Order: sequence, then structure tokens, then C-alpha cells
Amino acid sequence: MSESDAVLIKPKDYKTSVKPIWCPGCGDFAVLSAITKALAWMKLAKEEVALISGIGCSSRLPAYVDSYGFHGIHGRVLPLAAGLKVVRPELTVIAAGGDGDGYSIGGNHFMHACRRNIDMTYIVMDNRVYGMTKGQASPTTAADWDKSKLTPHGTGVPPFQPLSIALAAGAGFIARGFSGDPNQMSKLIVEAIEYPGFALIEVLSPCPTFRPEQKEWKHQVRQAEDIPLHDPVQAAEWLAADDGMSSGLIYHRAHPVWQALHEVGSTLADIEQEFRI
Amino acid sequence: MTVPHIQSVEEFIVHAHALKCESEEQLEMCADSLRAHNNPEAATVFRTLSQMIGETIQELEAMAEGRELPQVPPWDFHWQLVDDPQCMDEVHYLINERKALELAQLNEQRALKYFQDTAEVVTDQAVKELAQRLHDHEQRFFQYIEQRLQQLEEDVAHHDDLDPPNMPE
Amino acid sequence: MTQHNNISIAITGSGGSGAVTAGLILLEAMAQAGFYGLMQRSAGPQIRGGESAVMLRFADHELCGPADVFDLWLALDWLKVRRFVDEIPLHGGSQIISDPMIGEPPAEVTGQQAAFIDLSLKQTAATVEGGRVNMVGIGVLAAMLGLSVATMHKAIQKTLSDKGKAVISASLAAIEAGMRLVPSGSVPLTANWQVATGERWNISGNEACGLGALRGGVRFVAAYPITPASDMLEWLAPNLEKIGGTLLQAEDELASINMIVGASFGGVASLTATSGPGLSLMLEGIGLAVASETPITVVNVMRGGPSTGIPTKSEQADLNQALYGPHGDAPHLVLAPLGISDAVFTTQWAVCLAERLQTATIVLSDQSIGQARAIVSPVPETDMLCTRQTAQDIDGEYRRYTLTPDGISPMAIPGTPYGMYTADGLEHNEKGTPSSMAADHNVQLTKRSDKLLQTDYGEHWAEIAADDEAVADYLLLTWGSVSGVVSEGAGRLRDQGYSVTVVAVRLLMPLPLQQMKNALSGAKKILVVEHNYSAQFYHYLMSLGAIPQDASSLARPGPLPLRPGEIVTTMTGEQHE
Ligand SMILES: Cc1ncc(C[n+]2csc(CCOP(=O)(O)OP(=O)(O)O)c2C)c(N)n1
Ligand code: SF4
Repeated sequence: MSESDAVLIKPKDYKTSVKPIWCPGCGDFAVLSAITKALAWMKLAKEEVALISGIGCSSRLPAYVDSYGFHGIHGRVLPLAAGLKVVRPELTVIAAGGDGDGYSIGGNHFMHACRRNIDMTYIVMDNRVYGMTKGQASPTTAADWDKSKLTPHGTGVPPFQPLSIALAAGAGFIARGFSGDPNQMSKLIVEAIEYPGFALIEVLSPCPTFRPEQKEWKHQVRQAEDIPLHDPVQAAEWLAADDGMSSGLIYHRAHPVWQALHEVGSTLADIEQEFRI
Repeated sequence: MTVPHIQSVEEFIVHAHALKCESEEQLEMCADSLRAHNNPEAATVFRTLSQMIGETIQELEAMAEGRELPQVPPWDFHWQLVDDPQCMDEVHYLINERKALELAQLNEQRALKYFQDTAEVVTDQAVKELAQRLHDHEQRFFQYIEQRLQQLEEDVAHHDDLDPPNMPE
Repeated sequence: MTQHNNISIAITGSGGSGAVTAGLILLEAMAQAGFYGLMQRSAGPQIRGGESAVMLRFADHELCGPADVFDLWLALDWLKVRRFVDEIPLHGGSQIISDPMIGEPPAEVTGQQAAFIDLSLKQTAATVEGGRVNMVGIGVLAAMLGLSVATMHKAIQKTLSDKGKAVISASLAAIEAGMRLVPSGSVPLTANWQVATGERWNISGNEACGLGALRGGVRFVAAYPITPASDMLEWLAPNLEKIGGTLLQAEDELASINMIVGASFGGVASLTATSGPGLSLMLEGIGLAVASETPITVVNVMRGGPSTGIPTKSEQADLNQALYGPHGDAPHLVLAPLGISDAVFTTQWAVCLAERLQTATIVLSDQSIGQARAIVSPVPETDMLCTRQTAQDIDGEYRRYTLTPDGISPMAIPGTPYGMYTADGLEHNEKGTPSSMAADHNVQLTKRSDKLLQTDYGEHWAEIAADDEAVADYLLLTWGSVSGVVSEGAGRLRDQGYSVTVVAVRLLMPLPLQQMKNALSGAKKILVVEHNYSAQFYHYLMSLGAIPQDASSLARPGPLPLRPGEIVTTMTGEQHE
């Protein structure tokens, strides 16, 4: 590190003056904190970072970070981010959103982003509920959670397993963070940004408003010790055995990164020649 | 509590700065979010306290000028080993001033303890002095909270909202 | 007036008979010989081996659409030909070339007045090693059209270049054998045609859209395959690569529309192409582009609808969706190319307008343009202002949606220092911060609407062809692909002594109302022509008060194309009432 770098890290510099609308106590605050810590630690130029999101409480995040941002539409964060990254590969692109946004309405994009492996970081703030629309069950909600009027008997559907699905779909960077530990999360974010390819960080981010029982997560989440794994079979077994409460970088493996190919050298006039009789 | 292995003033400045920034951020987030949720009393508590911390931060930043500082990533700070109180998720949007002060107090325990332990344990005289000074700052912070708490009425029940939550999007 | 010197030829055949290849070869050969042409296609539902028909029309002048009837029909076999009988109307002088050995033509064909020319296509093919009936058939047509062996050589070399030497020489031998089946000394059908000397292009409508996109500066395309838009994507993929652009095949249209919004946010002109079902999926994303003022272009190559509809046939039935699809008040642009050549210009213009006005543009092409191939004059480059206003050297607070006299706010492209902002589909204030305040909503709604309404779109909004008469007897008002057919119908009406004005609208939304009124003023009788069931254009014009109450409508759905004669009978037939 050069001498001029030897300054105090000020994550606050990466925040805008826009005040979050999140409920006090929402886990998403810690994600915001972790992101700004990671950006500050990496000393990324603000204009070289883009935070892209969908719709949901969690998707409000880009407006709070002093970088370029796009608050798109529900479920489409990954294609929005992919389009940007493909044309502007030099930017640091971070996609963010909720479990509903990413795993339900955006579920198809999630799988294809894992396999396409465009170089970006995807942070899913998983609170196992739809916060923004008043607490309905999400894909990661337990089958017997019956606190939503929409599913008075619970969903009766086994929860979506985002990390196992990401692994099966070909993701090479799979991590789980926890809002209760923003510093560890910032480490995961730095590693994810540095990873060449699609990096998934699933963050256990409590929703005290609709899932007050998630306050207990701080007593349940633990840092896993035997990770990261590099072998997909081992990782699959590990994930299958996991109770969803272990945090850390779980799986790390290099995969070919999707890149646009150019064979520049032609002009439009050359292309038009081909139409000539 | 684990003993912090601080070797130099520079190292200590970096730690103290990060720790105070974190406190400030927590308090500010609470203030912002309570302001957004129309609880100005509690918001003011957090705002006032975060400003007090802001002064310490400025002092540390001034002290850092011209020094060669070690670069410590957020996840490597030693107070990680301290049992983290994680109180901010207890902040309900309808909390009263008293509860806000209590939570802030809880939140700041960590810094208080960290500075105290450092002052006790380190051998470097300059670090010791600085830790002592920061510890005094913390004391002032706590004194302020104590005073305010004494001025306040006894706690009454809160957390009651007759309106259902909103569906903004 | 009507231009003569044209001939229409249909070639039909089933699986493996090579009707399409035959059409492509003949089109190229006629181009080599100095003529113009148009080739449209029709096919059964099978992926391979299905029956297919190519409809060719040749002339010594540029063509704008199909004719009413076919003069020649080369039937390579009669299998499932019933499917096409409706699409190949004949007249008393039509000739059907076939081989009695391939079987009996169905009653629908024999019942018509056309004459049969029976030739031993099959046996002739057998005399050549590797010879095929379709090539013999082309030979027959080539000889009838007066094409030389040398011309056929060139056409084969060009069309079959990737098939290898053996195929090429066998094809040539079969073609020559076919040519010998036509008595030497017969007068070629193109005997008194003028031969063009200038340069011409062989281009499909989908390629024309693609070219227009590249000329407009598009360097990123994301799309999901769909008939009849896919071959535009197939053309764009390699050609974008050659000039430093990228095409990404998305997982669905929800992805492709959002990908182009993301790419455009990154500062690169971006486009997607689709057809009705895909457009339906894209609507929410189009609204996002409108609200966030991110320029994008969506080319919708229309097919028969609703739902999966008739994927391989043309219809102009997505107009309503293009105009009104996105929810909320979402002002955007809708344009339609008036033909194959015009698809170059219109698509380029659409991209330029999107970039300039920072909005979404929908281009309504259709199957009859997209999948048709034509010999046309080269489409010259047009000077247009295609640049997006960007924010540079920002000092002070940057306001992404700042109010300006023309409603266009300079856009900070990621990477620009001090320009950081969050684009948003939520209603926002000038800074881009979400806001549900009435004042902000009003201001931003007005801004997004006014920037489109205040723009002077110039003369390109429509092509207007008027006679010298001060007041036209008939005014034919139309849009998009059927404009060519309408123009040809107008020519015939003029031959009958009527004065006719054709207004073919290219910019459908926002419709320049004053210019429209000027163009229509004084017309005695107005007919709105379009290719859909419910007269979508007509009702749109009525809703805007753009046409008088007594204007009438000719709206007919696909799959059969509109034909010039229909225009004539609608006009004159009504007149006799
Ligand atoms: C197409 C569409 N469907 C539904 C909605 C309503 N909606 C907004 S946010 C949301 C779910 C949010 O849940 P999640 O993504 O988990 O985020 P959270 O709010 O919990 O952070 C829904 C269903 C929408 N905005 N758009
Ligand atoms: S509803 Fe839940 S997820 Fe949304 S801001 Fe409140 S606590 Fe966070």
C-alpha cells in the first residue's frame, strides 16, 4: 500500500444524505454498514461502483450508498446488473435485494446468473419474509410459519435452499453472512468483489417488524470453521447437513467468467458491403 | 475480556477510530431511522450522543495527521473478541427517551471497556495515556446519559401502535 | 401511376424439396441480372421437412409489397399444398409448372383457371448426378425469365458458397438441364424490362432493422429468441462483435429488457428485439426505462396474436399494446417502418430519438417485413442527432432529473466523478430521491411527457404521397408494413382517374397532430388501412380527434396479407353505394 493510502478508513464517506426508511432495528442497516466498510477498505472510487437492486425494503439500499445506483423493478436486479457489467466491465457492480426479490419473482434470473458467471457480487438480505408488503411468506420461510394472513396454515411448502441451488446452478462463490456481524460481512463482501465471477452472499438479516423471533438469530448464528470448501460434492453435502445458521465463506472455486468477445477491426461500412449484390 | 495487543499509538489510533466510527454509525442510524419514523424525542437522544462521539472521532483524526498508520481491515480489529452487545436491534420505532438512553448506554459499554482494558494492560506509555483520555471521554458520555436518565420520569409502557403496518411498494 | 414490368412467382414444396433455397437462388439471380425483387415466406408448423412456400415478386423498379395474384407457380410437389392455396391467388393467365410424375394436384388447384405446364422435372433431375428437382425447376424459371447461364452461376456461387463444390456443380448442371426444358427462342418474360446499373442490396427486413440499430449507435443487445424476430438477432450477434459491441442471449424477455436498461444506464445505446409474447413480458421493464429516463429501443416484430397466435404470419395487432401497454402514465415513442428499406431508417431514428429524449422507443416491425428479403437500392446513411446528453465536469450537487426547458436532463454515466445518483422507477424528485409528493409527481410526469411533445420530429413522421390536385378524392391513411400495398393500390386508383393521397405514418406516438391535420385537410374521403381485426389504428386516431368522424376503416387480420386490389375495391366499391 502506498503512503498516501495510509489514512483512516471512513465508511461514513460512502453514505449519502438520504435517510433509510427501514424500521429501527432492521438487519439491513448492518448490510449497509458492511458495504460501506468494504468499499472504504478497498478505497474504491465512488464513481466506479454501481449498486443495483430490485424492489423490497432491502432493495432501497442503493440510494443510501454514495455510488452510482439503480433501484429497478421487483425481481429483475440480476439482469439489470448484468447489462451494466457487460458494457462497463471496469465498474464494480454489486447487486442487492431481498429473498422475495431474488428467489421468488427473480428465481429464474438467480439460477441463470449463477451459471452465466458474470463478474459481480450479489447480496441477498434474507429475512424469510416479504417485508415491504407487510409480512407474507417468502420462498425461504419455514413451511409451518403461520403468521401471515395470506397463509394462515403456513405455506406447507418446504423452503427454498438458495445456497444449494446456487451451487447446483454453477456459482463458484457462496457465502453466508449475518447482520449481527457486519465486520465479518464486510470481509465476505471484499472477498466477493475480488472474486472473478458471480459471488453470492446470503445475509441473514432479521426483520424485527414481521419476524420478531429473528432477534434470536444472534444466539443461533455461528461462524463455521471447516470452510471454505472447494469441491462441489463436498459443498453439496455440507450444505445439505447445515441448519442454515452457519456463516462464512462456504464455497470457493474458480469458474470461467462470462465475457463479451470482440473481434474489432471492422467498420459499419464493411458490414454494409455484405448486402451488395 | 481479551487483552488487546496494541503496540503503538498509531495502532491504537486506528483501533479507537474504527471503534468510535462504529458507535457513531450505530447511533446515527438509530437517530435517522427514528427521525424517519416520527419519533423525534428518541431520535434526538441518539443524535446528541452520536455528536458527542463525533467529537472524539475528530480528535482522533487530528491526531492521525502526519502519522504512518497501520492498515487494519474492519474484520481484524481486536475488539471483535469482546462479547458484542448487539443492542441496536432492540430499537423499536416507538421507544421512549429512557429506553433510547439505556440502549445507547449498552451500546457504548464495549468502547468503555475496551479503553479501560487498554489503559490497564498496555506497556507503551503514550498509548496508555491516550487510552486513559479516551476512557475519560467515555465517562463523560455515560455521565450525560446518567444525568438525562435521572431527569426522566419512570418508564411507562410503550410499543403500542393502533395502526397496522404499511405496504409502501 | 402503376408501374408494370413485374411478375409474381410462387414456389411450393414439402420437406427437403428445397423451395426456400430455390427462392433465394432465384432472387439473387434476378438481382445479378439487374432487377429488383421481394421474397416472402410461408411455412407449415414442422421444424424440418414441413411444407413451405416462397412468394417472389420481381420488377425493374423497387417493389413495396406483394401483388394481388401470382403469374407463375412452380410446384415441386403437391403435399399439403392446401395450406397455401389461399396465399397464392391466381388469375386467368397464371401458369402452374409441375411434373405429372409427382402426383395429382388437389381440386383446390385444378379448380382454378390457371394453365398447367407439365414438365418432366423429376426425370431431368435424374439425368444429373446429385441433381435435384428444385434446381431443375429454377432452371425452368430462369430460362422463362431470360436469365443467362452465367448469371445462374454467379447466383449459385453466392447462395450455396458454404455447401461445397460437389453440390454447387450438381446444382448448376441441374439448373442448366432445367433451362433446356424451355423451348429456345421463347420470348423472355423480362424482355422489355429496364436493367438497373446502379448498386443494389439484397437485404431482409430483420437485417435492415439490425443495420439501422447499428447506425443508430446500438452496441448492446440482449434478447430471447422468438419467431419472427430471431433472425435479426442472428444477424446482429456476429456483426455487433465485429464493431466492438455485444449480444447477450438472455434467459427470458424479463431479463433481456432489464439487461438493456442496465447497459443503457452504463452509457451504451441498447436494444432488444422480440415479438408479441415477448413484448407482453417486457412491459414492466419498458415502464422502468420511461420512469428512470433510461434510453432503450425495443423492436417488436409482430406476428399473429393473441397469445402464441400465429407465429409465422404477419399481423399489425400489437399496436394497442405498444401504445398503451406500460402501466401508469408512461409517455414513450412508437414508430413503425414502412417497408424493408425503411426499416434501416426507422430503426436508426428510433434509437436516436430514444437516446436524445432519454426514453423508451418501440419499433413495430412485423413478419411481412422482418422475414421478407428484397433487392433494393442501397439505403444511404442519414444524418441524425443520436447523442445522449451526458453530465460532465460536475461541480456542486448533481440533480439527475433536473428540470430544463426541453425536459431533457443531462445524464451522469457511471464513472463520471461527482455524478453519483440512484436511478429509480419509484417516483422521485429532481435529485432522484424517491418521493410520493403530489408536486414531485406532477413535475416529473409533466417533464417526461413534455420532452416528447415539445420535440419537433420534422418531416419524417410520415411519408406523404399526394397528387397535384389541391384536394384529393381519396386519402389513404395507413402505417407500417402495409404502406407498400396501400401505395400500390393508390397507384391503381390514380390509373382509374382518381386523385389520391397516401399518408403512411412512421411516428405513431406521439402523433404530430397538427401535421396530421394539415396532411388530411380537404380530403373528400378518408380510409384508414391496417392489418388487424379490431381497427386499432383507426380507433387510436379517432380517440385523438386526428381524423374526421366520417373516415372509414379497412382493417383485416392476418394471416393472409393485404393486397393492393383490396384497397381499390374498398374505395371504389364504397363509392358506388
Ligand atoms: C411485479 C411486482 N409484484 C409485486 C410487487 C409488490 N412487492 C414489492 S416488494 C415485494 C416483496 C419484498 O420482499 P423481499 O424481496 O423479500 O424484500 P424485503 O422487503 O423483505 O426486504 C413485493 C411482493 C411489486 N412491486 N412488483
Ligand atoms: S419491514 Fe422488516 S425488512 Fe422491512 S424495513 Fe422493517 S424490519 Fe426491515
